[in-house]
Amino acid sequence: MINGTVDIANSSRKMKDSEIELARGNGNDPIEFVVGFDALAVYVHPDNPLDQVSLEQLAELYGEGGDVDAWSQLGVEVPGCSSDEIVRVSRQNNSGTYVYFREAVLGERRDFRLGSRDMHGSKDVVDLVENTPCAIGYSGLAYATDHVKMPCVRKGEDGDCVSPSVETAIDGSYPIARPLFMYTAGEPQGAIREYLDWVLSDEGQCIVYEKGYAPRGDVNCS
Amino acid sequence: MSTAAPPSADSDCAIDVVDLAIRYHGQLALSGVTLKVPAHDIFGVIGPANSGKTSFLRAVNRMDLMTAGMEVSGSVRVEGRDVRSWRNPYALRRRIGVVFPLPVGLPMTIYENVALSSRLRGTRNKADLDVIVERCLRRAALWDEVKDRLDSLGSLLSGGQQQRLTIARALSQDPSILLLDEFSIAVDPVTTMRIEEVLSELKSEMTIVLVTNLVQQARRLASQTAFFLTGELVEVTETEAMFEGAAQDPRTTAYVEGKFG
Amino acid sequence: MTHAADRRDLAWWIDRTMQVLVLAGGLSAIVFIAGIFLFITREGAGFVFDRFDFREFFFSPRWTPTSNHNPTYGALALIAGTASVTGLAMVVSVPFSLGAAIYIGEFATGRVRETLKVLVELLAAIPSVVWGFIGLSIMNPLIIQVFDVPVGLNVLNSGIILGLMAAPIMTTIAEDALKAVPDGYREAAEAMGATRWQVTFKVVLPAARNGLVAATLLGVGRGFGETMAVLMASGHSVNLPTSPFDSVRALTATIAAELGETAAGSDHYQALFTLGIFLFIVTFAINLAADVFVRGGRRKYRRRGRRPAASANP
Repeated sequence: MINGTVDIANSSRKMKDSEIELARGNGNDPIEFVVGFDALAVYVHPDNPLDQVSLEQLAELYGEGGDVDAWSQLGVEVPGCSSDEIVRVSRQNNSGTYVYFREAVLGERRDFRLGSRDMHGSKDVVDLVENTPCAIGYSGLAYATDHVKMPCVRKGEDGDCVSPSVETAIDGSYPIARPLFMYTAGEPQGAIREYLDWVLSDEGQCIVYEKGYAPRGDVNCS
Repeated sequence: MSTAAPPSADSDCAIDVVDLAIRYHGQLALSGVTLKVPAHDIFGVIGPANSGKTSFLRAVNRMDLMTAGMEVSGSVRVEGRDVRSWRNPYALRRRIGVVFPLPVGLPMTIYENVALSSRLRGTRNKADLDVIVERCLRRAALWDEVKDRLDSLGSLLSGGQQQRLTIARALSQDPSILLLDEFSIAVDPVTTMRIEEVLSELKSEMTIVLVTNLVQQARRLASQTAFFLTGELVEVTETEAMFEGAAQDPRTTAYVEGKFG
Repeated sequence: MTHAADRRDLAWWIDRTMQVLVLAGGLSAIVFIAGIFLFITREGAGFVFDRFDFREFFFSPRWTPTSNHNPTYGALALIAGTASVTGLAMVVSVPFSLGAAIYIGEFATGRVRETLKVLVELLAAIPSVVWGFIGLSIMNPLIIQVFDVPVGLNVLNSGIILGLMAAPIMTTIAEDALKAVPDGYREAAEAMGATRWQVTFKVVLPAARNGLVAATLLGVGRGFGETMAVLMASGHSVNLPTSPFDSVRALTATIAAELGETAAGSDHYQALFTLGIFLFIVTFAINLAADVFVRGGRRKYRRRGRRPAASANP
């Protein structure tokens, strides 16, 4: 989009102001559309007894200067993980998932701690957690399989613990859900306009729902 | 030549060959060879290209083992024992020195070339090796030319020097039999004459089989000579007789007189 | 006055044309290499000249290019990651490939030999993403079980995968080096009563030494440059490794993972190209060294097989 090679682009994070400047410098003006929402689920190995986790715990686990390194600190003993070490699984540092997780869990001013396994794709995160008893990871809800477990997430020590689902993402109760964007180069026209209209129509939004993401608003899908 | 006598009866016979035949991938290359090589003498083998001379040598030191498709039948006895009865063919080969047509200086120093055989047999002592290296190089008439550069690569010597190096290397095995396969092909005439002198001196100590493309070389050195032609042994005759028209077969006379080949 | 036969016929023109065409082919290699170097240098130049902090780049393990408030570009952990994975890969592949080359070149005969050669070449044809997948899905659980470590994506995993990937090319080149040793050497040594192993160890291997070193160096170059499999099997974790069970991140994997979603012209983008320049220089040096060794090997045999036209052949 910034290089001006495409007319329309998907992104799971907002373009930065600096990026929009760069794009304008290259002669195109990106227009933003929200096309759906995605809940980031926390994944652990199915044998892991962890049922719930707080945003604060996640921050101390993933954030720079954090002190959570062992499963016993989260109050669980994980079968098959004799070292007790938490294997942090993350994403490469410029993926939308990575940036959004940082924003939602660590806050604006805090960086990730180095030393996490930074997977190249959302599916790789789930694959690795599936095969690694000591691991914890985060990835879009759409990538969930039967071979991983998703603990519920709560805000603060006393907050309600909410399981990730399309419904909790739509009603806003799940704390780590984010908008998904499409950007067009300038006001959409012609085929781009038609495509975008279809994505935002009931038909398009129902596909969003079926794939495990949350649609923009109420839609009736049979 | 008459037919073979019982092997052990004749201690003057170094190599006793009976009805030898050699095939490569089923193709007959040499057949019907029966001859005796007397001990402590030079035995000449002459014949045009592809007559089976080299194959004959390969059967003597069991090079058939490392040559794909080569089959040997009949018997070859070296010092009374069939070569194929050796359970360790490497030990047999150590008793037989070989000099190939093209000089092969191994890619190591001159010193190491000559010391290799002794090293492979477990000699570690430097002083012992020094003695062996000097003795063998002297006997191969090479010592004076290389004594100051024993540490340079053997493969960088001239062709004639390399051929004398391979003779020194063969002598370092302390062999009882020395097989030479057209050693003069890549050697200048002066060096050829020097090597011929060396061979004349060596024959009192070992049996030498000299395969040669130069009939006059056989005449100069060998007391008996075998004539091979297109995979068959034509005859074995006293060399002088062969060259003076007393050959048993007219083809031999024609060959030594240079009428073909 | 020109002679009647002295004219530029078709064969002359074809010869001239083909000479020009092959010259163009040869020059294109130079053009491409220079073009690539110019491109990555130009893309990385802004960073190298304005933002580049020599101490940070080579001595800091902090690679946090997308930090909101304090982006840092320390490549030490990435360099250490690449070096450790490549090092372990060599530990795996050198004995494996030398053994295979010696067996194929010196001991195997006939059909066994041909079959093995085809199998080795087939191994080289496996795409690196498949190797990466093997690392992720098979080696990871295996390493966790066997060594009882928290995660199996680490130096050990990617080193083994990379070793197996580098082994076929190393085997092929090492076998070529053994094949370049004249048969006359083997025959001469065997005729002396040397055993097959003695011939191999005392004569063939020393003679082929330069080619074998070159094979190893090309394997190292392969290891340095490999991307996808290392990305998947190493854990891709910014970390200074202290044991083979630590996850690491490679230079190439970092570029591959981050370049696609980095705004062109940004500091991060240029920093990635700086990694590229660094990689380019290192692999170039390795390949150059391999080439020098191969040439050294050739020089040694320059005099072999000379056939002076001395004594006459009747």
